[in-house]
Amino acid sequence: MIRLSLAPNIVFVLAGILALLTLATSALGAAIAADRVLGLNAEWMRSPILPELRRRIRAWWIMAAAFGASLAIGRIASLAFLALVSFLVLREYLSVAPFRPEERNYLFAAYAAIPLQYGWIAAGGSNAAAIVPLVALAAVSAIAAVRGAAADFLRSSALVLWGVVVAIVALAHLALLVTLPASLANIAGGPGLLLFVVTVCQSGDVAQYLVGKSMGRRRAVPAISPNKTVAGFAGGLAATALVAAGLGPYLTPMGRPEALAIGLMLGVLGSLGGLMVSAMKRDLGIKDMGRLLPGHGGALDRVDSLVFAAPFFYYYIFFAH
Amino acid sequence: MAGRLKQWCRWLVVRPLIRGMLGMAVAHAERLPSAGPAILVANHNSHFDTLALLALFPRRMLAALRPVCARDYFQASRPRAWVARRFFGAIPLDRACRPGGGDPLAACSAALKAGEILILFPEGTRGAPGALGELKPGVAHLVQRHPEVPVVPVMLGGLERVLPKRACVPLPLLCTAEIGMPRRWNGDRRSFMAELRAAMLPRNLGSAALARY
Repeated sequence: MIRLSLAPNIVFVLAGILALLTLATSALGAAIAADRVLGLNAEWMRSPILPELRRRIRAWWIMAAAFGASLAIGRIASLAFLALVSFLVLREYLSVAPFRPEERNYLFAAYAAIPLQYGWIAAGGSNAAAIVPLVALAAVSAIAAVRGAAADFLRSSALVLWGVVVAIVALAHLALLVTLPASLANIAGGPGLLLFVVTVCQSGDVAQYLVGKSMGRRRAVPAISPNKTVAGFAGGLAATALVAAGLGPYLTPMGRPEALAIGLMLGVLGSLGGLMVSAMKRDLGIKDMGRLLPGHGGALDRVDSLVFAAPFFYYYIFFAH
Repeated sequence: MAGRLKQWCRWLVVRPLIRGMLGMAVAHAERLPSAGPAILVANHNSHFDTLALLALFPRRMLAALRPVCARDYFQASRPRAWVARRFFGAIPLDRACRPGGGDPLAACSAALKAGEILILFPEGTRGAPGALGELKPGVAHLVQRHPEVPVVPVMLGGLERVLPKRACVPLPLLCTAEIGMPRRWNGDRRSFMAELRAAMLPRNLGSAALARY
C-alpha cells in the first residue's frame, strides 16, 4: 500500500484542475448536444477545430492524471515521470534531427544523459545543471576522436547539445524543484513548486491557443511561426499572471504581488520557449511534428513553454527565498 | 516451449517492448487483414522491420503470422536460426534458385493454405537505408497460385535508423507504418509487381531535413 502524502493545498489545486477538465469535457459535450438537438448546424461543428479540441482535451486528461498520480505517489515517482517526459521529448527530437547514419553513436550519448541527470538529482546531487551538458560534450568529443572525423564536428555536437539541454537539463529543473527543502519551498513543499510552475505555464499555453484561435489576427513573428498572434501572446500573459497570482500564495513562498510579477515573467519565458521550438522546426523544414509523424508529435510542443521558465523559476526560488 | 506461453512471450517482446520503444504511429490500421490467409509485404532495412510488423497485430493473431526469412542468412548461426524459426515461427526461403531443388515456394504455399499470414520483404534483403530496392517477383508467383489471397503493402519509416544493417544495439526512435490498400492478383506478374512497388515506397523521417545540411 502506497501512502499518499500530499500537502492539502496541492490536493485542492489538483481538485481544481480536475474540475476544470470536467467542465471542459462537459461544456464541449453540451455544445455538441445542443447543436444536434436544436438543429443549429453551427459552422464550427463541421470545422477541423472540433476534433482538434476533443483530442486536446483528451490529451489533457491523460497528462493531468499521470502528473497528479506521480505527485501523489512521491518524490521518486515524480522524478521518474519527469525522466519519462525528458525521454519522450528527446526521442521526438532525435527522430527528426538531421544526424547522418554514421553519427549513430551521438544519439546514444544523448540518451545516456537522461539517467545521468535524473540519477544525479535522485541521489541528492546539488544544483549542478552545467555538469550534464559538459559530460555530454566530452562524450561527443570522445566519439568524434574515435571516429577520427573532425568534419561536421560543430554541427553534430550542436545537435546533441540542443537535445540534451532542452529535453534533459532544462526540464530537469522541474525535478530539482521537487527536491528543494521545505525551508525554501515553504507551505506546499517541493511538489507545490512543481505544480505551480507547470500549471502557470500550461494555462498560458492554453490561453494563447484559445485567444489566438478565436480573436488573433496580427501575426506576432510570421518568419518563425504562422500560428502565433499578438492577441494570443497577450492572452497567454494575462493567464499566466492571473493563475500565478491566484495559486502563488497557496503553493509557493511568494506573496500575491510577487507571484503576479513572476507569473508575467513565466508567461514571457514560456512564449520565448515556444518561439525557440518553432524556430528549430523551421530550420529543420518541419511545419508541424504531427504531420511528419502522424499520431505522434506533441511532446516537445507540450513542454516548450517550460524550457526557459522552469530553470528561471527554480533559480528565482533558490536565490530569492 | 508450450504454444500458449510462446504466444505470450512473443506478445511481450513485440507489443510493450517494441511499440513502447518505437512509439509506432500506424496509419490506416483498418486495412490490416483481420484473418488469414493474407500476405503482408513491406520495405526492408532492418531486423526490426519484422518486429514492427508483428507489433501491428493483436495477441491472438500472432500465432498465425509467419515471417519469411532468407535460409542462407538465418541458418548461418545457431542463435539466429533459433530466434527466427522457433521463436517467431519464420519460414526459411531459398534466395538462390537451385536447379532440381524442388518448389522453393512450397512452404509459403502450404502456410497460405493453412490460413496463415505471410510477412514478406520482396526486396529480398535489407537494402540501402530509406530506399526501396528492386523487388523480386516471388510474391507475384505466390499470388498467382493463390489468387484469392490479398496482398497488403506496408510502408515502414524510421526503422533504418533504429537498427541499421551491421548495428547490434537498437536506438529508441519514433517510427511509422502506413498500411496501403490490399491488392489482389491482376493476372499479370509484371504489372502486379509494378503496382506493388508504387504502394511500398518508404517515407523517410530524418532524411528530408538532412538533405538541407
